[in-house]
Amino acid sequence: MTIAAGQATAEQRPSRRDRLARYGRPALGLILPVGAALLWELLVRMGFSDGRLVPPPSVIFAAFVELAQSGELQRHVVVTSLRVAAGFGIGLVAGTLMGAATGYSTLLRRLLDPTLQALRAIPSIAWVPLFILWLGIFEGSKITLIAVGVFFPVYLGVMGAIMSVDRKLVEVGRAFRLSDTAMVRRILLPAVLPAYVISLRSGLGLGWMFVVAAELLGASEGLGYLLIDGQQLGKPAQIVAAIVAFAIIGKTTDWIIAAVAAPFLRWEDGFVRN
Amino acid sequence: MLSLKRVGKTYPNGVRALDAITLDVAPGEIVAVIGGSGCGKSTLLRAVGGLDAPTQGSIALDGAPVTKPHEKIGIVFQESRLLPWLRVADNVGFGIEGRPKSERQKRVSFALDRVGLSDKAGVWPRELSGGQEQRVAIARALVPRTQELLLDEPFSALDAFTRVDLQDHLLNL
Repeated sequence: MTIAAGQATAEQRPSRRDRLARYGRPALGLILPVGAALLWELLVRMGFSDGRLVPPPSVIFAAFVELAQSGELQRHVVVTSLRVAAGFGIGLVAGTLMGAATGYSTLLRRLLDPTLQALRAIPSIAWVPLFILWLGIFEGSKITLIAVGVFFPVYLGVMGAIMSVDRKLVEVGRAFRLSDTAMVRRILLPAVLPAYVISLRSGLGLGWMFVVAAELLGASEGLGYLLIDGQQLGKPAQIVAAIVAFAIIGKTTDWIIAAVAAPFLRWEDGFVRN
Repeated sequence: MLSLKRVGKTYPNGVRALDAITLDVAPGEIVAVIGGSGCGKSTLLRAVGGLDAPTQGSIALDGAPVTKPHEKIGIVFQESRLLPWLRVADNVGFGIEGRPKSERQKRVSFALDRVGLSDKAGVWPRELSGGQEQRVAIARALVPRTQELLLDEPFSALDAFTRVDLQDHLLNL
């Protein structure tokens, strides 16, 4: 008994090495960007470059702080985030429904998929003039462009995931006489979840890419507008600050999806090398 | 009573897997179908289990035709086919989800106990050995208390010692 209790205590308390590994692993991803930034800062300070077109991190940080203190950064971030949220929501719902329908029904796949694949091949930027004609220069066209960007990876991800669900697992559902609804809820949904989460993350990434395209083409606010403003006024630090803001928000939203999905994917038996 | 009358199965590619099989299985009777690989054993079990319809003849359980999976017929496949997103206890209780929770827990616990895996109720299928997976699959088939239990070589992929152990175990159930 005493030995067992001792073992349990030892198991519960993570060792120093475990703690280091736990906090150290995420920090590994910071080595490259932080190292590159420090190196560039050093090179500019040592006079190897004037840092005019590619400002050093200290100048970018100062521009970032200045934008934040004036409230401009927050305003632009909120506007861009709302556009992405709206476009992502629409693209997500449409992509999921269409992907589920074409993945589940052979008839619908034969009917719809060729057209959707042809539409997917069109460079998204080519839609812009049409969207502006149809929906005007304001929010409608921007959100629609983002929704188109989100739609295709989600659609393809869901359709592909449903089609690749293990037939043998579906047969287990049949052997237990599951209804169609129960089959979807108890077999298909959990089976497609890992691929669905990946398609959501891809879709969101494209959403952030497309919002830049939408805002570059005509916006009076948003991070894309900050980029254009910085270009027109010759403020590279502002451009890089906006890019950094995109990177931070994009990474944060991606992390949120991954974190929300993680508890539902604990069962996965994937390849992980420490 | 499970009755097969001149059951035949011809696949769309022309392969004739079953030919005029007639068989009666009385309640409590254990029947072993023996034959080489590809001779149609699985096809026969899938037909009896209602997963594949025979192209000729008929199958009936207590006089009622079996044309789709039947509530009184359970099946254990060659592979465990455990659902990886469900813990062992949830896999075992998969077929009785509509029952009250307390009854479900009781029956799952009883079935796991019978296959000697009470201590594995909370683990994921990926954490089990091959033999343990098959025992869980058997427990899952036992829980709905079906009248007939079809075993499609569930131990074929296991090593000889585990196979003998599980066969003995199954006969004791």
